[in-house]
Amino acid sequence: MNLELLTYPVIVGQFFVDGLGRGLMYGLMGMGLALIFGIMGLINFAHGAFFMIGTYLMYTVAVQLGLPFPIGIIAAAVGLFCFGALLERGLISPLRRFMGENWLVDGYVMTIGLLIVLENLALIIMGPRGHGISSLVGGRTSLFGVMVTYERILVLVAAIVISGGLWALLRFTNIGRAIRATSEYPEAAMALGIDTRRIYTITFALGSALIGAVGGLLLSTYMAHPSIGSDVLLKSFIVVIVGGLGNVWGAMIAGILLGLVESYAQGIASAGWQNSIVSAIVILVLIFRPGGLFTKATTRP
Amino acid sequence: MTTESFCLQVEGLKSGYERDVPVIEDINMRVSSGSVTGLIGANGAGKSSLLKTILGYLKPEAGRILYEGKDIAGLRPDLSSSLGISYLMEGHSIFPGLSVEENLLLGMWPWRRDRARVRLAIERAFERAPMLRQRRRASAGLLSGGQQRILELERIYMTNPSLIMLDEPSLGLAPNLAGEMFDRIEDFRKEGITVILIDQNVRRVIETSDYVYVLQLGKIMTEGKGEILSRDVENIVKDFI
Repeated sequence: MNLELLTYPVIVGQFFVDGLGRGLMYGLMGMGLALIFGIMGLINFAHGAFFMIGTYLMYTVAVQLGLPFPIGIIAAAVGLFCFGALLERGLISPLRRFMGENWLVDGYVMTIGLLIVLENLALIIMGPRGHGISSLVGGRTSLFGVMVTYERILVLVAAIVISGGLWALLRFTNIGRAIRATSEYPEAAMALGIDTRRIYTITFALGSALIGAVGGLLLSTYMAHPSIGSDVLLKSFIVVIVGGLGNVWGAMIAGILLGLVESYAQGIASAGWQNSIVSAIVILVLIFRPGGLFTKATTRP
Repeated sequence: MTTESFCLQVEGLKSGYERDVPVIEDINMRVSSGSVTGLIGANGAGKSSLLKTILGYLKPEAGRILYEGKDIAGLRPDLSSSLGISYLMEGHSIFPGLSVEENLLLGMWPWRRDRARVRLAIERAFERAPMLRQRRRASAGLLSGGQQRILELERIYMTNPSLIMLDEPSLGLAPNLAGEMFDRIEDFRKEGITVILIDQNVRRVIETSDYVYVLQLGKIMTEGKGEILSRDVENIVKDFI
């Protein structure tokens, strides 16, 4: 362990920038999972597979078709929105209606099955080779001696745009209010004329679109490969557990915290230690704050 | 009397939370338009289940529910609500994490695209209950129990419903607020709104109602005009115990 590194402001700053970039990625990954869990109560184990589809869509649009990368990210988001909506209407909604109160356990099993099916379909259709790009935007700049790549800045901007967009949608639109109301008290929402089935479909589609867009955005970090979703699923679970189950903003903050912890641990100790430290943090959170660091008290009547 | 004079008719209704385990059975009920109809009975008699079946939370296993002449049995709650049936749930049904104004906005969900109508309805709700205007930005969960009930009542009244179903509206309220609640039900009657009322205060329900149904173990045991049953309140309550 080399604590002496912490006496050099530039190195501390570099760790911070690297950790922030990494943390924003984790936060973005966890937001879709947290949104779906927060509103529907469903843990979507196929979350990583949705990310994988997003990377393939991005690769197809931006590399194979040669279109600008923002169009690739939008294509990944729109594609996953439609895919998520179809899945919710075709599989999850019938399960919820026919299985009654115990549908969630069946839902977990179903999304695990979905993960396996989607990964193997990708293997059959796209093959075992990975596809990637070196970077979405090349180049870098220096801020007070700290090296910042334009790619990192892009991730920061994307995180602000995606988080801000989601916040505005939930806060200021009719559909956002209905989503929040449904998550708090679905029976009361129904009594006001809100079609909660439609709200669940939109929520699932929205969560899917979020992770799809993130898949597209991170194609240069995580290449398009059938099994790339496993690592993403694990990171998403970690930020959702630490941030608070179902807390979208908690996931983002937890993602940033974990990114910073990883970066400093890797820099000060050595490569590999970051995983042990993050695992220890998850265990401590589960013991002392099992609801997560940023969980609000449940106020549902 | 023709069908048109009844806001709601229930015929041979049977439903429950599990198939073949009925909570209510063979319920026949007629609710005259513009009247107040009381439902009384001991805990577990099936009063709330009856309301939940009418709105659509519970799917009927048998029977018909005619609302303004149209069979709505099995219709989803959001669709029943859009037809003009409002339901005040037992306990509180506000969205505590949303602001007072957001709760009211959601009350106008079926008309959400008509912004002028929504704004007007909310303005009128604020005029009727100035406290809601003062606390419009506050989380609804921070209101007192009585204030939450006012918010709920305004939220269902602002939609201009034909039928209001009230499940224990005075539950947990201080006596003066409970009195105001029953005054409000009188106002609904004067405005020609049909009301179905369940409340723990059996005497007050009978006094307020034009017609009363007494439920026991999921079936209607007695029915009659409120003024007639009011002479026998003591015995009715004893029967529950």
